Amino acid sequence: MKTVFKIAWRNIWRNKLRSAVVVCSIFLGIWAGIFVSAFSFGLNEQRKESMIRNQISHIQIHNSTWLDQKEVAYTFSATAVDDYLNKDPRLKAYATRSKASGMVSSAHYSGAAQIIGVNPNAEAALSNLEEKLTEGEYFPEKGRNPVLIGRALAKKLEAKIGSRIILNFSDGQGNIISSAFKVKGLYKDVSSKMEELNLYVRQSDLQTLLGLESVQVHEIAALLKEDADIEILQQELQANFPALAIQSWKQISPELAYADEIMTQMLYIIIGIIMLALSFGIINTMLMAVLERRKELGMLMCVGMSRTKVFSMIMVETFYLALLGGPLGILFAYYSVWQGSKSGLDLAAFSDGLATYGIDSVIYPALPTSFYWGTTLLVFIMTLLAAIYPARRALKLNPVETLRTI
Amino acid sequence: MAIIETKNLSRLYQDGDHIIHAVDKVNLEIEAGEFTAIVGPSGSGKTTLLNLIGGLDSPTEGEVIVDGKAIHKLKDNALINFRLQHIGFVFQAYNLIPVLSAQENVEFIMLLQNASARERKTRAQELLKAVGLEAQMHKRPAELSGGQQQRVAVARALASKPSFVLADEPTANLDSKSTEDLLDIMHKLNQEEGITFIFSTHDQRVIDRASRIIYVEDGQIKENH
Repeated sequence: MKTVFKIAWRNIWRNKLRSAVVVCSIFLGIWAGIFVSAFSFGLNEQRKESMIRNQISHIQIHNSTWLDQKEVAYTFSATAVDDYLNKDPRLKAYATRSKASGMVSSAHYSGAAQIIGVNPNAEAALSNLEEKLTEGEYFPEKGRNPVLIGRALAKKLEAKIGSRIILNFSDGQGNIISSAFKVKGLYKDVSSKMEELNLYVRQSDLQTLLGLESVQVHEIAALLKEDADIEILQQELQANFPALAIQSWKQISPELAYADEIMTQMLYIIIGIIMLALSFGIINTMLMAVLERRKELGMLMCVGMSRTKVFSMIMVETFYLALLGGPLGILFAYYSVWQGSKSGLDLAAFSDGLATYGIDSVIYPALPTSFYWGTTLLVFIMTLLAAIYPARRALKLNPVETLRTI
Repeated sequence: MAIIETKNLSRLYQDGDHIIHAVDKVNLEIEAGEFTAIVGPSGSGKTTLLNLIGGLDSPTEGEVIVDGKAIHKLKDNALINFRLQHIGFVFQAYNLIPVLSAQENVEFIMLLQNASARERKTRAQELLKAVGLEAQMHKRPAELSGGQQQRVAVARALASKPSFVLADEPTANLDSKSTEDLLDIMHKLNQEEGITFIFSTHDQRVIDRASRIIYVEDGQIKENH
């Protein structure tokens, strides 16, 4: 077999240009495939993290009726849950929220609004609401009824820092409440729709207006340190508080969970398509090599080289080509992804479009290590399959026909 | 004792509605140590006869017995192995492996026979020396003249220590000087080491050196002396 390997190695360098083109195409194909996959994976991860951090958290707790009928009356007492969560070391942060649906209006505009009452300190630890402020202050201690509104809404309301806006909503008894709030901050969200809809007020202010006690809340949102603990904690909470609806982020946002689940499969499909295209290039090249060397291969069989060895030689030649380009492509892709994950890819030109989908304009490519191993295995399988056809063609050569004469 | 024997050997080809008798009921015996030329006009069946004797083609009818073995009955892999162990081939177009040096080309056959590295090297160098190429051992075929390549091919054919060497028009692509040199070498190997050579040829210079001439026409042996 040593001779087979030696001849195969020299054979692939007979036509240096052709072999170099094939090796380069394998290298570039695999590199591009992995990098595109890393870009997609990173983008999806960022979207998921952004959604979890900005909107849904890892776990949400509600009055079970509130899930179907989001009415002010469906609150629950936070005391017991608060005690439970406060002692749990697996939690990174959690916060209670009160919510009301209503209208926001100014002299220039009136529209639907989701009024969210937050505990400023707990909310700052849980979500990045404070970091999203582009103007103003994050719930200053002085002053009555502060409100944080999105930039898009501020534009429609023609409101600035210090402007008064009116919030209308109904309380638990169905009475219409109308109250003036003072704009203390403008925030930028990943989505302009979110900026238009969500207004943040102090939870205590909202509870007072709704006629709720301070322990009566609509929602507790929690963020965990480790993803692996999410379902465990969810089950524990459900067991301890069976009357409440305990949901993980996957239940709160099934489309996000589905996108997360199919992402890995999508990546393998991407890389699989690229490899399929590459394998045809390899088959073509090796087929040309076999047909060009028909006479020589026939001679080898004439003088006593077994068909198995001829078959092996063509297989080895194919492997050499793939093994030169494949690992090089994987290593270079690994380096590119590593670099990209540090500096990020700034897609500022598309920031508006990306923001609509809740994605930041700087994308950080990322890939699980298992994907690199999976790709290596795919390269191996692809090469094996691509090598078989040319090798079989060599196997079927008739020595006499190839030589015409002995 | 004959090292090659054919009995009623026939090879027919279908060409449309016609059946061509490329080799037609040939009975032939070749003894060890012969320097035999198979001659005849183009299309007479010389090459087909050589292919059948070398186990490269299967007869339609009849038998081919080489070294006492009925090779026409052998399966593909067994036949390839038989060729490796018993028959040396020299081709008209040299057919060396272009990516190997002259020495490696000669060693290649011994490698297929699983000979040791030392044995391969020693024998390859001896053979290349015998054909006058000791200075060109490490050159690749592209760096050698046609005559030199054919001498490497002769060395390669002898590397497996075959019972006989089949050579199809070995001088067809060579100039006069190279032809003479090659014939000298092969004749010397035949005379001094008793190696059996069987040629198909048109070349009068080869015919003149032959110890036996078999004249073939229309697939049949017309003269044998």
